[in-house]
Amino acid sequence: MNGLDLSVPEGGVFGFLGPNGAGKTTTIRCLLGLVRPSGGRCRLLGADTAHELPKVIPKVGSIVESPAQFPRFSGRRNLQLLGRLHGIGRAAVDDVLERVGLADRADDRVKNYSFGMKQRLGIAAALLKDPEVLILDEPANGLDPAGIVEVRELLRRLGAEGRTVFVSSHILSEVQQMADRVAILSRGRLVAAGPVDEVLAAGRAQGLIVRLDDLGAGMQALSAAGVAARLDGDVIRVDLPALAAATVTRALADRGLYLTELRPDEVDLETVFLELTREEPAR
Amino acid sequence: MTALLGTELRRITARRLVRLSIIAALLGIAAAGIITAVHSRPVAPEVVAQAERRAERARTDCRAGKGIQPGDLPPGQTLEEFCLESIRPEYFYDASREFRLRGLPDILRGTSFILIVGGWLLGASFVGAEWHAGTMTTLLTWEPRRLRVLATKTLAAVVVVFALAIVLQVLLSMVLAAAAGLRGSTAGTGGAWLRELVGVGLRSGVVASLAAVMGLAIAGIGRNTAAALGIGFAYLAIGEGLLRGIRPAWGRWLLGDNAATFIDGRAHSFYGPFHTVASGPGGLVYGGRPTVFVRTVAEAVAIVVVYAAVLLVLAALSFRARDVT
Repeated sequence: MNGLDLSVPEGGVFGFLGPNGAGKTTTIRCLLGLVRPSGGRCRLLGADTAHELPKVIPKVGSIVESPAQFPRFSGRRNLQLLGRLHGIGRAAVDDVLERVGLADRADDRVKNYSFGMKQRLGIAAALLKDPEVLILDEPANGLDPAGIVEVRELLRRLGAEGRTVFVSSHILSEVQQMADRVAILSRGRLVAAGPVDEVLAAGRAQGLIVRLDDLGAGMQALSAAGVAARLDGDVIRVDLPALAAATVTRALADRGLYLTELRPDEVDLETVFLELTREEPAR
Repeated sequence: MTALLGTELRRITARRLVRLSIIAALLGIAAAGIITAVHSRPVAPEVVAQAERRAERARTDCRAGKGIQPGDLPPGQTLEEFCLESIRPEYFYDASREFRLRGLPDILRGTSFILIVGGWLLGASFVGAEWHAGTMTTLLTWEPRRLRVLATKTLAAVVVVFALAIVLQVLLSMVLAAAAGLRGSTAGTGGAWLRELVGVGLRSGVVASLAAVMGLAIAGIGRNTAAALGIGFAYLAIGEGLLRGIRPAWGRWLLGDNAATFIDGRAHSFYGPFHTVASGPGGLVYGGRPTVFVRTVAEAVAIVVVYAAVLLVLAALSFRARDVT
């Protein structure tokens, strides 16, 4: 990590993004007291994780990479053993198994679980403390599409309940759909952080995408009308905000040119992510 | 801490290695009982009675100092103990195929080696397997106080290994007692014998538990089971053998010798080199009496405990300082 200074507000879903090796898991391990920073501090619910983690750990549920459980025990027994550490009863175990869709297979040995089922069991373990804070490292790993949607909905609900869900993921579309705020990490540095809309806006090219049959005539018409535009493959990109779309349609219609498509030049999280985390070329 | 200990006890007792070890031990005990009963040939009571009379006469001579001087007694033994120990009725008749229950403490001394190796293995795999499977990380996200985790795991390993050692020795003793009752001899199994038997059994259990602590500690430092097994084998089979070969007197500081002394329940002597008495053209001339170092039972157990404690402290320091990745 390199000078990471990140504050996660209470409540809601916080997406933690970065390419492989950016330092996401290291940050999570630091938060959970598994690694100690060579400098600086990690604080969780106000507690310094180097010294005061035991005070807050009962309020924190987590998954670090692939959650490991005892393969020869059933899923239920694994959770019961963990639950005993914090005085959590069987009813809570049954409840979380139900929530992650493992109730039917709860008494099977974990060694017979698929990767996705093990991931669900890890999520169940994270939920078992009824935590205020959830720290989840790639929770959708290994899940099928339906499972990904279920986990997304579950995390959204947990965030909406006022819990703080800190989730790292490489599935950017998922994060865009469920997170209220995101932070993007690259090579140990924070390159962007804030509400999803603001992060997207920061990377958004203000413009419109225009498609019509005669692109050359279209470029001439826009140029004549004083509209800055450039040809990009089979579309024209216009440097005007979406609200000024009428300027484009008028300029083209005046020349007898009719649009086949006109839409804002939107940027998704993936585009922003790739832009922000792009490696500098070697000098 | 109680909840953590309960969890750790459940984990260790549910481990496949533990269960397989118990099954193997039970099969071994059953086989020992059957083989002993089949192999044993009881001696007629009148032959035994005659031998006992002859042994008693020999002991009387022994107590009178015939054939032995008080200065020649093994360290820590009285003349009475020596005479009782060294003159046995079975020396006065052919009892080569009779199983005598009186020898059970020596059998337990022999089987203690298996318990020690088993304890080391169980202790090592208890922690090594957790590192290998990644469950240590999961556990630390529930209980981040690492020293507490290590202490609880150590306690769980000690409790389970000690309990297993005692139960298995009791079962072996019962099986062999039945074999002796049916087709052997139970002569000489009075109160003193029982005290010796219980003492050897308990001390074997203690050393097996300490072996579990050492295996667990080394596996904790190396973060895998193989490290503990490899180091344990290399040290005991090669390292100690070499040291003992170079300087026999160093045996009094070695783990194996002190464990054996403690289990034996009797002081052991370690002999230093002969003194140089002259130097001539042919080289040094050695002679005289070597220095004898006596290791008492209390000293022996203290040294074994120190070995275990040092390893455990190193494991604790390593566990507390190193990152969990």
